[in-house]
Amino acid sequence: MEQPLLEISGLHTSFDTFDGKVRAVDGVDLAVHPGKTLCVVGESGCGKSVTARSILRLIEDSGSIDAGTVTWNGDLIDGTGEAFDVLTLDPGDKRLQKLRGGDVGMIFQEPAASLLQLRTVGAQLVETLRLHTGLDKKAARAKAIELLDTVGIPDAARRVDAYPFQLSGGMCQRVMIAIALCANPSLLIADEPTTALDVTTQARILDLIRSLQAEHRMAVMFITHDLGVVAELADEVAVMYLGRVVERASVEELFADPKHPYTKALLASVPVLGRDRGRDLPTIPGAVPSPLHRPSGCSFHPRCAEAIAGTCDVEAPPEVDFGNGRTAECVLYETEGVRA
Amino acid sequence: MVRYLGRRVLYMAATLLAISLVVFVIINLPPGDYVTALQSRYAVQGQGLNPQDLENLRVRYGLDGNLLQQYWHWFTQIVVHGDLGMSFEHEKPVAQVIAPRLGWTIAVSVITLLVTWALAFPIGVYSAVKQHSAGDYAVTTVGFLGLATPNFLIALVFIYFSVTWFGSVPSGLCSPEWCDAAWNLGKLLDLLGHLWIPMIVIGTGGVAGLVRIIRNNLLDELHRPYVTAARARGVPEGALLRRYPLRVALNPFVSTIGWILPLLLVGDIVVGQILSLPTLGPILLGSLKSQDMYLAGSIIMVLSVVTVIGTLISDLLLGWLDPRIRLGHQR
Repeated sequence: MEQPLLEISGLHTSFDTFDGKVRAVDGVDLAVHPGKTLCVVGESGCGKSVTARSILRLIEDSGSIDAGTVTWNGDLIDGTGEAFDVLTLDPGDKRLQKLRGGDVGMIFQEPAASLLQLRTVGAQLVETLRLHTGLDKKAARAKAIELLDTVGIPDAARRVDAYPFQLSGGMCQRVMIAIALCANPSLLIADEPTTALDVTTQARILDLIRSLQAEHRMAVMFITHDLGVVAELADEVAVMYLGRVVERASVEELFADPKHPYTKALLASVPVLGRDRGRDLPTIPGAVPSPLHRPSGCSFHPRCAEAIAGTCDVEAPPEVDFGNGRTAECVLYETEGVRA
Repeated sequence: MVRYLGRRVLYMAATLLAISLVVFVIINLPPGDYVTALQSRYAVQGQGLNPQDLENLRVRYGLDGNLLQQYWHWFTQIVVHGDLGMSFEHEKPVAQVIAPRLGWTIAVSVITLLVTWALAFPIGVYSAVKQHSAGDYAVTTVGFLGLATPNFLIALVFIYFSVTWFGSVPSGLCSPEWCDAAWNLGKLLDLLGHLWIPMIVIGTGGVAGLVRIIRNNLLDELHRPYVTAARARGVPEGALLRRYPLRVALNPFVSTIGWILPLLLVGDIVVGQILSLPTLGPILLGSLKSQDMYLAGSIIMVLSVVTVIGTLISDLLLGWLDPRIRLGHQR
């Protein structure tokens, strides 16, 4: 396989809370390849957003990245520099500044809240443009209008002076995408960018991301809990449960042949038009346990239909490697693949 | 913006009308009037006043009608003729009693307000950005004390220490040798030498309150999604703080003019008495004691006008700072 653009390995991120240390991300390994889309999927609280934020070191004061490496190979691939570990960079390091908003664009869950209401969208876009491209004021403004036009904002020359509260949620997300794209990033991290939007807007934003990805040949790391979105966008998928990646597969393999019992249960709980008429939708029994009280052994065993008593509740499951980047963290496949 | 301004001015006029009515009623609520106060003063000196004299005095001062008539008289005099009436006690037109002191009152208040801001803003920002640091705890503790200590107590403490250390009481706003002098550098320096005492006494509570406001607002804003988003696009930390959360935290700060100005003016009433400042506070207190109703009413009205204008200024600043207010949430 070719050199990944971004490699996360052994990432541990935790938060200090009143009740104790919450290990939100507990040993995550991920790789994003150039020009490809990686979807990270999982229930609320499984640590997918925290993983995404850890990449650019956006964890708030109460949280800390305790271990692991985030290796950025972008400079190595385009021949401008060395690969480096983002987590060991000095906070004032130029490479971190360049990474944030330059090589990596990021969009968020609540587009309206992610923009400052008191400044025009143009001002916030121009600010980022000038930070990363060194354009002068006038050129940056022209470029800003061009970018707003690219992301499908009608009447961009006028909207550039609009305040975020004068735009709809979908329009705000387009502005966020324009900001993320302003320095031609090689990776776009999208942290549930369509969750706060209505369904038709969702579809348009997804279309936009897909067409921009093809145009700019950038990689996308897409965080979502929506398997429909995964099917539509992903090249590769990582399924997360309680701070760990439990299964990794290409999108075709995942939907055709899910390995991990959690993935199987997730897929079974997606409603299918026609099939599910007049019957209850299958659900995964129980709720996601609090990361404060992680079940012993495999953290999914209390909810797992295939759990083996005496094994799953005692020892942590092995990560089984099926080759071609396909893995699952489950004892059921211990004999099939190679123990990673 | 013009409509916003027009609406504000209209509210302002209505507020003043309501205040004038309430003020007048409250001043007249205690039993008796200026004539009864006069009568008891004479009685202390052993001189009685007969009912005929009292009646004549009431007619002379215009106190013979009912409350509504008196109010109407007072109100129309002010609005139509700009006449604030006569002060019974000073036997001079109210305007002449107030005028020389009004300047000082406003000067002391505005200077205190500016100093309050200049101190509170950096302290509040520091305390929020360095939350849970030793400096933050120190600021918060001192702030609590400042907020909890009444102004007059601080004034008394000042007087106590200046008497024990320097043997004199810092009173007034100028030394005797400078008071009647024309304005020059010496007088200005002398004024500054006196001004810091009332400034500290009146301003402490305001600084403490503002620091808490700035700190809490900024703490709220520092964890908003737009801060993370701005950081994610590489905005350097210093510029990030200035251009994003501080912009938002500035709003409540500006709107404080509205409430801190009356606080300073009221603080001046008690403190002005203790430190014998040439401001409106001491004569307001005197006029209330002697039921000199036109003087008391006029002073309160003047202070209300100043406050309402302060609020208007803060509203205009808010409209200028915050497009959501200026544009009224139009889409």
